Amino acid sequence: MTDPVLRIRGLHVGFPTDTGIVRAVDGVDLDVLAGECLGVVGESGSGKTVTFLATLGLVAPPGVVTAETISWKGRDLLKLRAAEMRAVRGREIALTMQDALTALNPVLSIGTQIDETLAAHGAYRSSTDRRARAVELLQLVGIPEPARRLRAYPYELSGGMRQRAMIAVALACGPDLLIADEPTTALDVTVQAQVLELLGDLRARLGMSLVLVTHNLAIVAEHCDRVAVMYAGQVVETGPAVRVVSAPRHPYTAGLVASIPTVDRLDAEIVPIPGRIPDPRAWPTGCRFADRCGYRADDCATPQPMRPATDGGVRCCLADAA
Amino acid sequence: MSASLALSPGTLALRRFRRDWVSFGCLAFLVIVALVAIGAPWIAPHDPADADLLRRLQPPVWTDGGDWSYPLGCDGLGRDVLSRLIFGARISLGIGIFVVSLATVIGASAGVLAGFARGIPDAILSRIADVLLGFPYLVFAIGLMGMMGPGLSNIVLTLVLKEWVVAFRVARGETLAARRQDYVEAARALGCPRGRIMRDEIMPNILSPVLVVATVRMAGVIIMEASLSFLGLGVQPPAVSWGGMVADGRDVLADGWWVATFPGLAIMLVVIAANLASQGLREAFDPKSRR
Amino acid sequence: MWLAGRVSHLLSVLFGTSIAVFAMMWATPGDPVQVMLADQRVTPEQVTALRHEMGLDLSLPSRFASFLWRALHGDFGRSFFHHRPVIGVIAERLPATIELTLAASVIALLIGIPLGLYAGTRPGRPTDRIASLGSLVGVSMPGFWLGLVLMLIFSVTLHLLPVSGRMGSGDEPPAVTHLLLLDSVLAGRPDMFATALRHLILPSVTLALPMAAVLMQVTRTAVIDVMRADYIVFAEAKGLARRRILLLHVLKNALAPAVSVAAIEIGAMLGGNMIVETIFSWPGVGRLVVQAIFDRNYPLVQAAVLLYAVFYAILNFAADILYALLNPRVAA
Repeated sequence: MTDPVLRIRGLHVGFPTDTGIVRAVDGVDLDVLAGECLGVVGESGSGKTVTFLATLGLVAPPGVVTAETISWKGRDLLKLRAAEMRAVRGREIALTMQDALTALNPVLSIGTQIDETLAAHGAYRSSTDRRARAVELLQLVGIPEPARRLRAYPYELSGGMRQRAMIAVALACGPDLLIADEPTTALDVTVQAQVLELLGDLRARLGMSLVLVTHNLAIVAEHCDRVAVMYAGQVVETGPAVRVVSAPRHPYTAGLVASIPTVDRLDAEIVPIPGRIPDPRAWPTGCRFADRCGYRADDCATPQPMRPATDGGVRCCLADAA
Repeated sequence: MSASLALSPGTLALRRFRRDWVSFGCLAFLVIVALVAIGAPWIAPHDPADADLLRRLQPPVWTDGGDWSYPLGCDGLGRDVLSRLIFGARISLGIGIFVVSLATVIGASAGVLAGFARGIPDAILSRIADVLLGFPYLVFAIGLMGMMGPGLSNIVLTLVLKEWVVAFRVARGETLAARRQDYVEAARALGCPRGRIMRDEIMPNILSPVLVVATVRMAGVIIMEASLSFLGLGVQPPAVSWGGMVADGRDVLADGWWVATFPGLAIMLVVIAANLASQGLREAFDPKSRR
Repeated sequence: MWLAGRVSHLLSVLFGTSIAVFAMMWATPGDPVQVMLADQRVTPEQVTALRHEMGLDLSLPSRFASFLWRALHGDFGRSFFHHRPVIGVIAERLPATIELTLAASVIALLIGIPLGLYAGTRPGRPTDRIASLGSLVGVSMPGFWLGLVLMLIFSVTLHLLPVSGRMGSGDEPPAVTHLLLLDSVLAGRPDMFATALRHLILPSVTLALPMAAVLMQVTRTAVIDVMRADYIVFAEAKGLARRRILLLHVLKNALAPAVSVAAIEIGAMLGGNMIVETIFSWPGVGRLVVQAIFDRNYPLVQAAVLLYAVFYAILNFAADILYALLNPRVAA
């Protein structure tokens, strides 16, 4: 088993509000292996995005981030000074966001936004070199007429092109890990497939690790090596993507799988998971999924730790019995 | 019109406003000033026009030579500053309220008409509005007042002429947006005459933005009137205006700082109160606009 | 094309404005010529001559056409009181007003925008609260009162700065640009520069403060909005330096609304000019106009109002262009 490039242990992120502290991330342990594609699945409010914002040090006060360790290639990111962290961001770990239209600065051209990333990390001293690299990047992500597109503004591109451009900006300095937050949510279905294919392609070519953060289990099933399912600020199940989707161990995961419409079950009803996520200001002490779980038992009232298994783990008392 | 159980946006806003003690306090302050202005003949200790050169430039009570019967001192003609301040409130606050009210009624009506009817009325009204907006405020006011001559009715006319455009633009914009709403389509489909639609469907819904803008403008109008009066283009003596008082104070600045300071302070306090109250009103109707 | 639309709008506003200014003239109660000459001793021939000059013997449309035609050629008639063409009288006083307005604009921009940027990046903190309070006072304070208060403090009480005038009783530097500060520098006369500066401070600060207050508020609000945007998070995620993010990513977006407001405020300065110049006896166009009103020198008032309005329209046009340069999406 290869060593993880990113190790997150005991991550907690809280946001104080007038009505109480929102514990968006409440004790998350996560590993990302070298060269793998990890899918992180969860609904809104599960804490999946905040986990990675915290990893990159992008959680601003009054948000509070604590963790045992956030280790990237052996260095503890929490212990880095601001300047050192800035050097990691973009250069070693990159992030793309859900909607490229809002992620890209509307008043700066694509070229400028790529160029400044390159300049910030000291790669390519001369501006001509940087420009050449920018053209190369746009070609890499499959944007036609790259030289012309450098001068374009985000609003001038179509949704799919924009997403690719954003990926190009993120990959400018050749990072070893790309965190793609909801890469397809803002796109048309046909374009979604193209972008996912592109990401997979880039991962293979550039040899980087990829984290796909999404609410869409179907995407993860098809494109990821491993998957981590998050619910209510915690990781509730991990394991190889194929196994998790075909034989989920956590009732929540099972519910997610059941709600994917598939070709071979066209006539079957899509079964939604009843109920709603509990209030993040007051997580229940016991299992957080208990209220919505069809397998609720007495044990569920106690706090549920992660139970390790051969190919991952699960946070559910049902696993004890098995 | 609606038989819903929910509170109307107006009631909700009112509640929020009451809880915002800064804005509510400012509104209360303005109401008190207005009441003092109305009751001026009974509240003011002296006749504002009563000049006595023996009391010329008598300082305020807390300095040497002042006394309690003229607490804020006397001006260059020996008139009581406090009494003039109280009477001045009638003009300064009164013109502010009257001009904004009139301009809002005219402007909002024109705006709804333009937004709803589109076509030629809209084109004409919008053109006129653009031209009027093309003048810097004071330049327009001074120019027009200069031609027409000073006086209360001329000031009101000039200021209303400039102010209606603001209400017009807001009302027109809101009407254009409201027009596309389903409830208007429904009314038209039912064959409602256009006048009825404008009155019953559109007007109530644009009321709150128009109201908020109107309260914001009040502060500006008060300063405008004061500026015109300062230059001597405002109301003429024996009518008292705070702007005019500051102008009087200018002549005796070195010997009697109080003559110009107090009326200016009064203007500033009233305008601050108007600004804060209108800000509070805006946030009450749209809490998301708070920064 | 967007630009063509803006130009045609400008032209139509200019045309409408000239109609409005023309109409203003006839807002005088009674016969303008009679009113103008009320205090003068004039012969019937002079009255007729003046009527002819003002085009009063023509029909209304031809009067307007003649007015417009002459205005386009810079002919606004003669000032009866100065015995010279109106345009000459105005041109003489123009540099003083330009210098004052320019100085005030620079001060307002240099105070308002950085302060707004600073406050916007720290919303709710003490610095922001103080700045916001200051800005509230700044917009609520009547300009004429501020001028007098400053005069009271700095001239009357502390005797630090002069009360009035542009240069006092001293000599003036040889006129090149007609802007005293510039001319004294060009003439190599630091003493003149100092005197001119001392005279310029109070009037320009008085004129600048309301605009600075508004600019600060607008910039602050825009910065707060921008800071919440996703593209700022993305820029940070790329590892860009804080400084670059603020000065390019934030400012370029936040400046756009500030520019439009700045144009409107400078326009307001054109009016505020009249007050400030009156208070400080600054020999500019503003003071000239106020004086002309009391002299009932209508052709001069009319000319000045038209020129102000034209300048304001062009200023707003320029602001629209600048806005589009900052935010290209507008012109799409």
